[in-house]
Amino acid sequence: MMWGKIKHWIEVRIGLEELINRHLRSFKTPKGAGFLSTLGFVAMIAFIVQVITGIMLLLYYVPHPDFAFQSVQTITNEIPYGWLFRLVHNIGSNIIIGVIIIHLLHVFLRVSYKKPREITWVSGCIMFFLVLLTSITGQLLPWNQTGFWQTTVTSTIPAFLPIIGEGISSYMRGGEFVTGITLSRYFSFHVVILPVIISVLIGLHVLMIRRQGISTSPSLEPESIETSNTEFKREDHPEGQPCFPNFSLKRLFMVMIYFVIVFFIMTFMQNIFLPPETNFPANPLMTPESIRPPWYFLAPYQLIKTIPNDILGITLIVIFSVGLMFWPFFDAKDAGRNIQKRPLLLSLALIVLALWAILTIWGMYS
Amino acid sequence: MERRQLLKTSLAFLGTTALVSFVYPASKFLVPPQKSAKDAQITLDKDQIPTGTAKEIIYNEIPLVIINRRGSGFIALSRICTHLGCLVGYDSFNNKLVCPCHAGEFDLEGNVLSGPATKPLHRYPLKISSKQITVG
Amino acid sequence: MIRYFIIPIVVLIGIISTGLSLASYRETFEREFMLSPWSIAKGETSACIQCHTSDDMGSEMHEITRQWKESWHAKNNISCHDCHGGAPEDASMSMMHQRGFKGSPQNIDIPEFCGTCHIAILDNFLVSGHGETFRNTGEGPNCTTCHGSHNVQQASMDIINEQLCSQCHTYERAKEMKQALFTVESKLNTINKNLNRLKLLGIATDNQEKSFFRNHAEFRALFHSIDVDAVRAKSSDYTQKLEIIEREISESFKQLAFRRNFSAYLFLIFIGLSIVVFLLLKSYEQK
Repeated sequence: MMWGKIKHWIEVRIGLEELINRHLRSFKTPKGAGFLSTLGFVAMIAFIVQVITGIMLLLYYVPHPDFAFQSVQTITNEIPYGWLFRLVHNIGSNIIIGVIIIHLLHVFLRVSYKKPREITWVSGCIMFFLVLLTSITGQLLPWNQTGFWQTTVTSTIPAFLPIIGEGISSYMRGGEFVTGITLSRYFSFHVVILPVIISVLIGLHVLMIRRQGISTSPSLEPESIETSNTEFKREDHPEGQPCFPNFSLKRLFMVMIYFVIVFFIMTFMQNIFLPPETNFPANPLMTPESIRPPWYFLAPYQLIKTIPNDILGITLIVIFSVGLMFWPFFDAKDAGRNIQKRPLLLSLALIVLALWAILTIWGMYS
Repeated sequence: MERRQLLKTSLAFLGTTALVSFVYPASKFLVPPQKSAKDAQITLDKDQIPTGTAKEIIYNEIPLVIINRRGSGFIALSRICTHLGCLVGYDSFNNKLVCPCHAGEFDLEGNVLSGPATKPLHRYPLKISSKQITVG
Repeated sequence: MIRYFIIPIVVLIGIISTGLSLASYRETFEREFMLSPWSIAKGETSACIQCHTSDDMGSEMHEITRQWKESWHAKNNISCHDCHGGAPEDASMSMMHQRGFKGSPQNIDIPEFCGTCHIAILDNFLVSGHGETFRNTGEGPNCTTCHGSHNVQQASMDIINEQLCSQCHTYERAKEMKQALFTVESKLNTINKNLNRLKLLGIATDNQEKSFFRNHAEFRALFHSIDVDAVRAKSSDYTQKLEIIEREISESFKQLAFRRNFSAYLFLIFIGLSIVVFLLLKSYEQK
């Protein structure tokens, strides 16, 4: 009775029933939208998890070189269940990048970046790079040996670029060496600037998807809609599955899998992303024996290490990133969306993926 | 339909359990542990420490030294050397605190004078009345 | 068509063609990129090391620097000037009196030389049988007899052995001392191992490490008085203090076990949830 009254009150003011019907129950998602299509949603949930655990950590963290390390130790060991939020934040930061990479691959192999979805693709790539940047800035915050020395190395890489390189490095670090100024800078980027920009881009990305509809898989649902050059046309999917509950349950299932992975790692290998040097406070006078970047940067790092000319190595990475981000504009305009009918594109994707995997594994063992 | 109802109920049940399993730790997280060190206070008579001498006491299981400095009054410093943890001793002749392990030296404010230590000795608050000193 | 392959081909060529120069380039890369200008390469910038490793010096000098590099002192950034004085940054002042240069100590001065830093050890040594013999006769053990001069390693019970200790008297006495040391020393070893383990698992071990070091240093200093009765009398004292640390260590292990159990519980809940959601999804799809 009470519940009914509340629902009625809201109904008269917002018209919730109609909204739910239109956007969830009658809203149709393509028939081919399987579990992999939910990865974008999973990435968003993972981002929210990072934000929430990040806020919890923010309650006790002190962004000053003299107190940062100790505050993180206090959180992990003295604050009740501090270890839980710290570990979720730490493990989650690695899993979210894995989710994004698989999502990117899936979208690429679906050739979903083609017209009219270029904005979605570009905003997604920008978000990917921003998330990587968030990881880089976050790594310095505990002020341990790993973070300090990796920041020293990463902030020196731009210095190899001619003319502007030194300037960029100097701006990143706030000086010639990594100091408290660097910490403050990285702190403000990690906690405010980057999350806000990423949230705005998420909004744009999701808006585009809702507006245009989730892309179909050409092998399961034939390309019935000709993408028009002159006007906006939203795809309908009359034979598709209802968003609620079918697709929503798929999304929920993948989110549960995400949590299963996070807690599996936390139970059986909780220090896999916390190598030994993370337990020692930053010591500017002592470089640890092996500074290795986190797994998602091993490929570019190994590339730079292998190619003798540093500038060439970095330029290659820049070219690759730009190519990736603007790929919808490099792709052949008239080619279709079924990747099985496009062997060149498929082989390109597989070669790049194989190279990335080889470089990553090589980087792990060298 | 019956099966679906069962599944929906289990979903609700498990979901609530999962939610509570995060809300409970989060609520405990928001209350930092109270340091129980507030209770023990140690009071000494000023006469027990003539000028230029020091007294070693244990306060909350931490070895402290209370020094009556010539000209600067009383100070309570932790004896735990900030290098590796040995206990420093008061050298009244040279007005410093010396660590017997690696010859680290500290002045009577606790600041590092020489040796391998980098951080100053931890200083403890003192309440000084006309006849007594209270630590803590 | 070709444009699809430009980037991967360029990258492949880049990698393959540099495969041959890989090994030597990596060293150069690590030396120039990783190890400078931020890291202070130990000893390389010291004027002492530069001279004493140069070709002008004889093999004796090279041997000294080589031994030092492998020592526990070197690992803790204790260099030539820390013991011998002089200025490490300025070759012209590196062996000057004004900068406190002491040169190599005479045999009789060795205890005071090492005791500049190791104060408590010196105090105990001087009142010991070893110390008094050494001062009175100039013979007998000094620091370097047991610990070496430049290749000083971390002290351990193994220094007390038959070969070393029976140079002046029978090994019986040394054996007695070694036995007296045993309980406390083995506790110290276990605690050290556990503290290292806990540290790498993320536990804050700072306070316990300091307490451990303090007790360990005091006990070792006491040993240098070579007074078996004193060691025996104080053993129970030290055992008690170490037991406090051991209790804290076991608390930490319990805390780690709790964390693992709680994570496992969350893991199981989410597995349960995934199964239920999956079954629910299937039930809707079959409709």
